[in-house]
Amino acid sequence: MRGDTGVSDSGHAVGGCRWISRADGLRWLAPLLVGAVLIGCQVEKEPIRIGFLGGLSGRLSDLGEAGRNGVQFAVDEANEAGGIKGQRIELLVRDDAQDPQKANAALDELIAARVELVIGPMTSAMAEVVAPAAQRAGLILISPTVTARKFYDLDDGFFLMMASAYAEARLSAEYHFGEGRARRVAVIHDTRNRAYTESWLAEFTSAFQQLGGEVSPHPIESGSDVDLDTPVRQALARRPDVVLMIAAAVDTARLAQKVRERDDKVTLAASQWATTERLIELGGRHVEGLISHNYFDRRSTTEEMRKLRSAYVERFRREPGFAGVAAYDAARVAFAALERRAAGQNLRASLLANGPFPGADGNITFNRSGDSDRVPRVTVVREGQFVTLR
Amino acid sequence: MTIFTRFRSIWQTDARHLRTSLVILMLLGTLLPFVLVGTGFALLGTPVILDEERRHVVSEAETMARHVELVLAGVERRLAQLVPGAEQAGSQSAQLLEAAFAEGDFLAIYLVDRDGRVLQAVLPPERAKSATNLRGADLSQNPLFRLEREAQSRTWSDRYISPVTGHATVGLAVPAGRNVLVGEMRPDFADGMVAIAADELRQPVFIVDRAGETVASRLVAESERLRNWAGVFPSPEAAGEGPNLRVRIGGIDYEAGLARSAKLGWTFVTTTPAGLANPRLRSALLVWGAGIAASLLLAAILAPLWAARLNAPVRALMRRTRELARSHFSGAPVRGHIIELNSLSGDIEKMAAAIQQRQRELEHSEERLRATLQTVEQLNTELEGRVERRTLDLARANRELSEALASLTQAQDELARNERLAALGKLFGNVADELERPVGSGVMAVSLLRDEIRRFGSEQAKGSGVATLAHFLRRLEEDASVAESSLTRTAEMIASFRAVAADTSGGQRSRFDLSIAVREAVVPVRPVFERNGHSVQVDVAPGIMMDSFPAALAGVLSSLLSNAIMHAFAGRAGGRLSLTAAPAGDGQVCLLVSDDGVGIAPELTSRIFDPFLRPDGERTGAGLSLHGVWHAVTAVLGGTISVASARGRGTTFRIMLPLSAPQTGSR
Repeated sequence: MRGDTGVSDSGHAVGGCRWISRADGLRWLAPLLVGAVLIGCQVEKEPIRIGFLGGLSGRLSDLGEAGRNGVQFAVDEANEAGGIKGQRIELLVRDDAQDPQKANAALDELIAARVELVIGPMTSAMAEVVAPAAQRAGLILISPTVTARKFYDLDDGFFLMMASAYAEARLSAEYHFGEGRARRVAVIHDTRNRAYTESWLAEFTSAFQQLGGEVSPHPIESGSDVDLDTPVRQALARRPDVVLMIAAAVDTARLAQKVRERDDKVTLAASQWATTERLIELGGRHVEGLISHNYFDRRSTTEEMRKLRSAYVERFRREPGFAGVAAYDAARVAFAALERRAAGQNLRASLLANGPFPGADGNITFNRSGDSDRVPRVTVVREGQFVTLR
Repeated sequence: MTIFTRFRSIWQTDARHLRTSLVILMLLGTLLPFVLVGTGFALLGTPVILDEERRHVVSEAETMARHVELVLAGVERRLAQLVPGAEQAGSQSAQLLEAAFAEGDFLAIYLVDRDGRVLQAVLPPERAKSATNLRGADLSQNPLFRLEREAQSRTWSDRYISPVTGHATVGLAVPAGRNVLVGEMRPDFADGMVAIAADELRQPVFIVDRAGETVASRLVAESERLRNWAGVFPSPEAAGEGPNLRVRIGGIDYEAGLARSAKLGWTFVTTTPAGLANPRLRSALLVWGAGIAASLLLAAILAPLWAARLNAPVRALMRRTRELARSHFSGAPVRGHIIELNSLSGDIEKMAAAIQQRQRELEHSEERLRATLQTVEQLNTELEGRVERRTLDLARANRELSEALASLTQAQDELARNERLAALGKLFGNVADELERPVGSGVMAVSLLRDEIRRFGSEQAKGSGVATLAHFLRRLEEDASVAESSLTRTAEMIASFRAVAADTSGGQRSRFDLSIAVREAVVPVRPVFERNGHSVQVDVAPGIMMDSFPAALAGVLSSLLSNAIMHAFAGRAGGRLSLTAAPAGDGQVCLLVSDDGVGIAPELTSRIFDPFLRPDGERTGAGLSLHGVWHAVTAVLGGTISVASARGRGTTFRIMLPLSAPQTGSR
């Protein structure tokens, strides 16, 4: 059946049909009943439910959309291969809209629908809201994209697909100080996703200052109508070698444009958050040369990655990007852990014990705290494409 | 459940009431056509309805697509009006943009040069800063801009992220000379448009873009709107896909109708619940179900009434028939509204009349029969009297016969008693004969003794001498010895009688060697044999051990040896007797006592073991010895004895004895 992709918000299952034989005198009714049963009854095994939670509306929906597509792609792929131990997977998608209230309500809905686990959330701000609630409900969260350092090294049910912002920020600092020969960096950071941006900023500042560089922070509060000229002007006034933006793609594109309007020499850099495919759509040539980082190698020639990218592009008409790949990996890790789970073993134990799990760009393992430590890679925007440098 | 059980019991019974039959007939007659027609409809009509529904949703989707295209064409025209002024960027164009913007629907209108750079941007006043930010932005990588550049014509975007607000919406790009005019619609524009275009639809409606994102929707839950439909609804380019498919939305299966707008690149989806959930199918089935229910109800009410009405004349007929059967011919015939029943009633009355006629005839013949029966009865009585007399005669004859039989039996008994008395007399005679001689001798001896004593007394008185005394004493001794001999003989006889009367004493049971026992038995008689010139030869092998009565055996052998001296060798010398014994198998031993004497007369052979047999009128001996032998052998030793003899050629007694005498002999 083509229409059934396994995505549904139904909380009730279509169970096996039973009908009870009545008195012998009613034999002549049997053909009728059989007919009705054949029309109305669709015997189906109870599916395994997986939740996805991410921002699918509002200014940051690019990250959520990529994550949702990655997970949905993995679900469809697994269902085509026969599901998990013969059970279909049903994906329940919920939008947190980057709003704490909506996020909590969405998580409650997923808990009520008795999902096995949730892939998400996609931002650290939302993780701050839902992680404690999920922990209380005993629900496993696997976030593809959250990297704020506060979520690491905790003995909880919150699994992280990427290494902490610390690793990325340190790599960034080392790259700019070393290969970029930068000594002054102006950081424009969005205070909306504070959990992430401030963690990133702190890690970067500490690392860059340790190397001997100078960092000037310039906070902005993103929104639908924000004055970007002022923070950019202030950042450039210090004549930095690098303007580093810790913001979403839509804001980074505009900030890059504003920087380039005033200075076409300064090096542009951004945290991974900005590096969705929307950055290039929205930033155009203004983001050319922008240095960033990805937790997967865009040069990867593995068969898995090649297949994923071509199928993903054909279906969603867009590259999967780091969020799409990470979400796809997160879903596959979840399915493998469910598949490998021994009798009586909970999912958390399975995730911790049954690795390594297959990923599009190599195997994935979690440490004892359920955190991954994949090495980030340096990327640059070149001719409207993200290119991995090293 | 009870109603089904009752129905089944009625159905399976062999006979049922007319009323029940009528009710069943009417119920089935009412229901069956409905059920058959309804089932036919369900089986044949359901696919037709569902097919129609599928076609219907497709046409709805197409209608919606055309409607939306029309609305969007209007928007395009409004934006296209600005083209002449927009070809040259400047203050004039800015004013035009402002004017177009004021008409609503647009969230932003901006002019982009051929390189994708934003030249002019008009946004609502509250987004003034965004407008400033946007100016100079490079949209060369923007999907809408790229689509327009490819098509070089008016182009609508997929759902895309606004460069201005960051929100998802749809936009329109219109070529304006070397520039491109981009209109970005308000976020609620698409949904509003669908609300109008699909106003009458009561099921989920979608517009899905090329990438599977929901551009707009109606009656769709938020969680479903968040789905990406790329894997569900085929992309417009996918060939060979029909306009219908089944889709699961919110856990419910729908038949979806698809229409694609080549111009917009969007897919329009309208739905109707699939299968039994389909409202049209459901209402059709409901009508059918209601029809069945109504007809069932009607039949349930009407059938019993109608059946009762039909049943009444039948019951009256039954009553009338029952009366006629009881010969109550006086009642009125049954008349009703049913011709057949009236005709049946008429026939029954005719039949009743015929029965009445027959009954009269029957009564007549019955009278005649009764008269005949009286005659027969008289004859019968006479016959009975005769039989009784004969029976009395027979009884008398029987009684006489019984009496004769009784006297006969009595006579027989008397005869038997007389015989017994005769035998007893003979026995006593025999005994008397036996005793007479010795007792007589004894009496005579004693009488002689008394005479001698008397004579001696008188002699003594005369003074006789010693010679007389000696003579007396000699005579006394002779007489006394005669008396003693006679008394001894008598005593022996009496002992011998007792032996016959009582069981012979066998003595103690013991284990002994047969050869020794035989030799010991021969020892006392051997001198007698030798004195008379006879010989005894014993030929018994030692070692034949017996568990028996040695004294009885000794007695037997002694008797046989004495018998041989007395009878076999009487009046001759040089007789030979042999005693031989040998095991005969089966726990038996065979003992032969043979002599070469005179033998036994053939007429005596069969009676040789009878008591009191006296061969050759011989008067000596008790005449009991061979009978005693027989008794001892059979009763004490548990064996058998037989004799073989021929006159002048000797006699052989053959004794077969068990090695172990029976524990309970006839003692």
